[in-house]
Amino acid sequence: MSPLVAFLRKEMLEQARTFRLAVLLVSFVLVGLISPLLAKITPELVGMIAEDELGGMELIITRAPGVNDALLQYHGNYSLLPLLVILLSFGAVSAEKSRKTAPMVLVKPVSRRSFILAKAAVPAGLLVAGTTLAAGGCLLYTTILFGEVDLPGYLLVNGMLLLGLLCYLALTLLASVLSPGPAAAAGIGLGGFILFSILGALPLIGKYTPAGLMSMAGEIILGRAVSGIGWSVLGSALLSLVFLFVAERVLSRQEL
Amino acid sequence: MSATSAIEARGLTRHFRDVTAVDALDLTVGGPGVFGFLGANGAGKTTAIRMLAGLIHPSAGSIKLLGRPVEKAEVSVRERLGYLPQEPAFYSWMTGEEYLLHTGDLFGLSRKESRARSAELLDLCGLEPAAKRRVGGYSGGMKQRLGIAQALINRPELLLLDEPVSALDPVGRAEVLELIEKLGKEATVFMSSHILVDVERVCEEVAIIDHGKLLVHERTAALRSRALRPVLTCELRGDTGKIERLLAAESWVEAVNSEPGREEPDMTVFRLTVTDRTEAEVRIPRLIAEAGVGLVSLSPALPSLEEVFIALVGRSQKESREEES
Ligand SMILES: Nc1ncnc2c1ncn2[C@@H]1O[C@H](COP(=O)(O)OP(=O)(O)OP(=O)(O)O)[C@@H](O)[C@H]1O
Ligand SMILES: [Mg+2]
Repeated sequence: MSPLVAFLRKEMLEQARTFRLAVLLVSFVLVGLISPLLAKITPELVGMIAEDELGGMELIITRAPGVNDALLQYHGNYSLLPLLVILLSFGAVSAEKSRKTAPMVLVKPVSRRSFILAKAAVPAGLLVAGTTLAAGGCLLYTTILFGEVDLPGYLLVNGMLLLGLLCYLALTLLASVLSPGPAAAAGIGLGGFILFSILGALPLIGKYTPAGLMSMAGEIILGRAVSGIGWSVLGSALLSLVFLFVAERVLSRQEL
Repeated sequence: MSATSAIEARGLTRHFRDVTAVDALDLTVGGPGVFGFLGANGAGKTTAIRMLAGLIHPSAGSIKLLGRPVEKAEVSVRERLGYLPQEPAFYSWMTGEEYLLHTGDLFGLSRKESRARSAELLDLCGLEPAAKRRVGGYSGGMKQRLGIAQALINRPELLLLDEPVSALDPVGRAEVLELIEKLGKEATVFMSSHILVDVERVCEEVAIIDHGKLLVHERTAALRSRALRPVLTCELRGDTGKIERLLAAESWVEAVNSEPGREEPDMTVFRLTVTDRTEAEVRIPRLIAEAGVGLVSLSPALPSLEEVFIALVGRSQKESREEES
């Protein structure tokens, strides 16, 4: 077994044994299944509440919920997942440093590049798997509850959401490398999330951020004309690579 | 084959803000054998070992391990290295056995090899009963044993052990020291410690550092016989009042201590610190004859490594205090 494969194996086992795997997959499945259900029952709920609270006042719901409402719910819920990714991975490197398990591994013939690579590849694989589950679940329920979904558009939206999520993962790994311990890593990760959320709303530069990319996916669901999807995708992809590259460079010089 | 040293440090220095933890350390360790690295708390042992392991960077100086510069952190060197930190840390969710298998994998052993080697080491380090338990529940001593086991998985040529027996009970300590002694037959074992009886037992060669500076580097036996005045023990039978006075009057006698023999009440054991051992060996029998007491034994005794350590480090610390004031 090569050192990289050995460390990948350990990372996968760790995700499973520490219940991160379960938390992540359950969250994705919930996002996939609950979103169309919510879209279906929200108007009815609102109607019921209105009847109770407003003493039988008729609330006129202008239209019945449709495919787009389900997908918008999905988009909204999926947009919370970056927080989960940050919470599940801020300790990836920082905890190994503060608990002193990293020096035990890195005096062995494992390069620091392999270390980071494994730290990125395993959760990235999980995000891909999770997104596949969520997208599949949402597609199934939406089709059952509301009717047919435009498949190419749906795939594009999911691809964009996934790339945004991966970019947040790369950001969290960088935070984890930069910090001496988990607390600082969580701080930097969440700070980065907030920063991107602000930058993502800005004109011109917003679309190059993962937040911008993910909200652009929402525009596509709404059927609005969006331009520069390619640039936005490129922006987040490049940003992810830069985060990983910097993380690797910093770690390779870091004292343990 | 040209003889490359296992460790070659030149001018090795490390500052932490205003502390100089390691100060221009020159150290060459050949091998195989067991090498003791001694020093008081805070002397700089751990810092030096972490630099040797490539985990922290020297502020100045250079290190070669097994003939290769350590800054490059070459895989080819790390494949031949075993390292036990002062406080080994493990993934608490793994069992001891899983950790060893994982370590074997990291060294590129085949699964079969990994399994065989882990079983062997679990047995060797007395961890067999705990092999299937989570490391998170291990005691300090068990963690140290696992730390030693993981450092040996690749049959390293050079072992860096930072206080390998500090957390062990007396039986465990004896076992591990025996293991270290055995390893020293084929590999170079570089171990730090301040438990001097242990070092005395297993290390052929020692270096003592203080405030990051090398005080001595010598073969253990030579250090013990050189560092302090020679000591002779002399067992005598009869009335020893006269011989005691005679000895005390001799110029080559620095100190005379006597105590009654433990088993035989009419016997007295003298411990003599002398300035000139040759003179002592010639004169003592004559004085004994003169005093008319029976000679049971006369033998050279060595100061313990502990006495040497305290004398050397004590002197060095006194000097540095004087320098400061
Ligand atoms: N990371 C660090 N930051 C600041 N100072 C440090 C650091 N590591 C070590 N030192 C300082 O360097 C000096 C040497 O410490 P080191 O841990 O090397 O000693 P040691 O000989 O291993 O001691 P002990 O026998 O207690 O383990 C000490 O004064 C210590 O405070
Ligand atoms: Mg130490």
